[in-house]
Amino acid sequence: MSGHGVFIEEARELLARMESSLQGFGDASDPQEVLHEVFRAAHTLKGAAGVFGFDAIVQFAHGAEALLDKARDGVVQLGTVEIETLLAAHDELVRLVEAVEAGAEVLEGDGALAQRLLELSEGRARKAKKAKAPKKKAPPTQRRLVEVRFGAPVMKEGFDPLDFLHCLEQCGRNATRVCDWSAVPPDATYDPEQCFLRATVELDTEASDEVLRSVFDFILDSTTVTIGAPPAKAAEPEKPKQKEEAPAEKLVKVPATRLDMLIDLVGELVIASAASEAATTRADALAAREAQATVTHLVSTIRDTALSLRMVPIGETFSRFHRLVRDVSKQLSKDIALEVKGAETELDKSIVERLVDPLTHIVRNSLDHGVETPDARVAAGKPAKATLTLSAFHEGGSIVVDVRDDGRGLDRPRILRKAIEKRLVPSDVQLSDEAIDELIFVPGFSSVDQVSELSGRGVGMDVVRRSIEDLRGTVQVLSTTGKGLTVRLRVPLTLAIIDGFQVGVGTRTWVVPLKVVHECVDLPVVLESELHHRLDLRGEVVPFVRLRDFFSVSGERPSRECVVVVEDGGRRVGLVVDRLLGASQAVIKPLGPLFQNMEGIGGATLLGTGEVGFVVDVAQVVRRATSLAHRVSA
Amino acid sequence: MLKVDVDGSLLRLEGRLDVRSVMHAHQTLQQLGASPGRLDARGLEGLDTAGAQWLFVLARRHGGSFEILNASKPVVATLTAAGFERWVVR
Repeated sequence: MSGHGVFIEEARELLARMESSLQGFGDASDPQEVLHEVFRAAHTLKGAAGVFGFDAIVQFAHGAEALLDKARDGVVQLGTVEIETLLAAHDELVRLVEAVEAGAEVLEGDGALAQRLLELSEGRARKAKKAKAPKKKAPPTQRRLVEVRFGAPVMKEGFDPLDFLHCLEQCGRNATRVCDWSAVPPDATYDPEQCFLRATVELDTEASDEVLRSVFDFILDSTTVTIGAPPAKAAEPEKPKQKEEAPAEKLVKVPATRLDMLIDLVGELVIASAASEAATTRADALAAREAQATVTHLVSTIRDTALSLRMVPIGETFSRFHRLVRDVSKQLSKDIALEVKGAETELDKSIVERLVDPLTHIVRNSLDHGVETPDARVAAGKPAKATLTLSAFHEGGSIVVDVRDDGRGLDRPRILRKAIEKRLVPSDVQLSDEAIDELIFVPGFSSVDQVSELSGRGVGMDVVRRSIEDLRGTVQVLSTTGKGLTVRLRVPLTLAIIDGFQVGVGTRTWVVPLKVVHECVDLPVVLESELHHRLDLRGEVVPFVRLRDFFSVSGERPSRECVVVVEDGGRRVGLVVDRLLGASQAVIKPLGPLFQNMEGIGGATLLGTGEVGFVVDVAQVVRRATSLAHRVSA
Repeated sequence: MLKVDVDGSLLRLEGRLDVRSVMHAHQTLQQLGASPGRLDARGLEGLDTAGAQWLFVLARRHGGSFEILNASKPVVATLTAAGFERWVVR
């Protein structure tokens, strides 16, 4: 990754942290800690931008930092105006970072906003001094000694070590710098592009060691920074406190493309291993089979480790909704709090990225149509302040993401009326509540009379469903009239490689994701009722689908069939197949555009035999099975 | 592109001596088998840490008696920041 690439990536993280901390400032149990967090983000961003010479970013980060510093000292109180201005500064910083990414030669910040930041930090500070002089103690000035051993690749990575030293010296006064070049190797082994510089900087500063260290954030992978007190001048040969901080976990930044390449290669390895396993089984050589078992186990471990590299917590995505909820609530004159649960739940980065748009759509819909105005809420006996909850949790091999509001819920009579008006359903139709709820996913459906800036164009929920189904996921709505609506998204943990369960139907092999397989039983001929498509599973009535019929597989049914009982979204369904072939790893390859709309097929995979197998989209099959069972029983 | 020229013990550099051009300068001297003891920095537009480090290597060959002549203010500033101010003689 180039130096600019690293900067942009880091700046985004810092800005996201800054935004989410600012949003949570009002409700924080420890506002001072939140303040420190925002300050650190602004300070680190300023240092990094300084290294690259992005003066406009430095200016805004400095403005925010100055205001936050005054707030930390208790000279300025952070009220709504200050928070709004800091959020505006954050937006401006985001814009400037985007400009850097777009390759802008000259960056220009919003001068009026910069001035506002300055006024808030300086003007208010003066007033506060005159009025009350709260005299909160400024942090004490200390003499600190910073020893830096730059890593060999620093210069090749596009950084100039002297710039970092310059930046460090800006954190204090009376700095003295000693550069040590003694580590430069003899001519014969000297590589001019590698860095061998060591330096010692001594300075008077109020900044904490953490802030001083953050100057080197971009190069800490390879560079060692030791911070302590300078050696005592006279008798006390006090040792610098080198072990005052617990060693932080080492992190390595890797471009996402390299990770994707690794996952692809691991996928190929899984396929090759399956082929080798099939060949070994055919050869029936005991020693080879034992060796193959070890290889298979290792490949499976490598697969899990590689996939875990791409796992990220969903919290980062959730945190961006604080701002959306805040802004939209204001726009709609509604009072809405956002609650986040399960932010630590991890899923594949590629899935997280593709969840943002559908989630935004659902959240906007909830805010606009779901949540009532404060007056209407009070009249309905609810608290004036509404709550929107974003939560995530693991269930089976999937992640469930819920968007729940405590608003009015779906207005089913209105939905049905609109659907009839739009001729989406016949006028004399009798539909169950679930079937009416499903209408909101019909393309072009919208129950509102007026199109607002936020929603109501009828291009929403069908797109949401399509986006989620593209991820091999499902969308479900759970509405209680007058109490609220939950939109439940269920997506797989990863898109790349799964543990599969192979089954045979006709001459072909199909793969069912192992995580959803509950059990396998023989199809009880006596109890089977073709009419009702249900079977009795130890007293439980379970609908079933014969995959042979579902996929129109030609040929005769075998005399004995098996049922793979799968569970999806709390519903159990039996998949009737000809043969059970056992578990195997499956690398999911996307289907070409021609096959993308085939119902019940979630992808293709290369089997160990070299044959192509289809991955069953269990959610779609289950939906079909349950609706079929529903229709028959109705 | 950095232009490197050696005249006896005098090295002349034109352009910017940085991490992108330092390898070229280093290899040029190696190919010439040259070990200059002075640098005429009249045409040197600037340098970074990589450039300063390479000048240190040249200076070390001469026991620290390396001379840098006609250095511009930015060049002097970088050399000073890198702790080489004693080399700038004129």
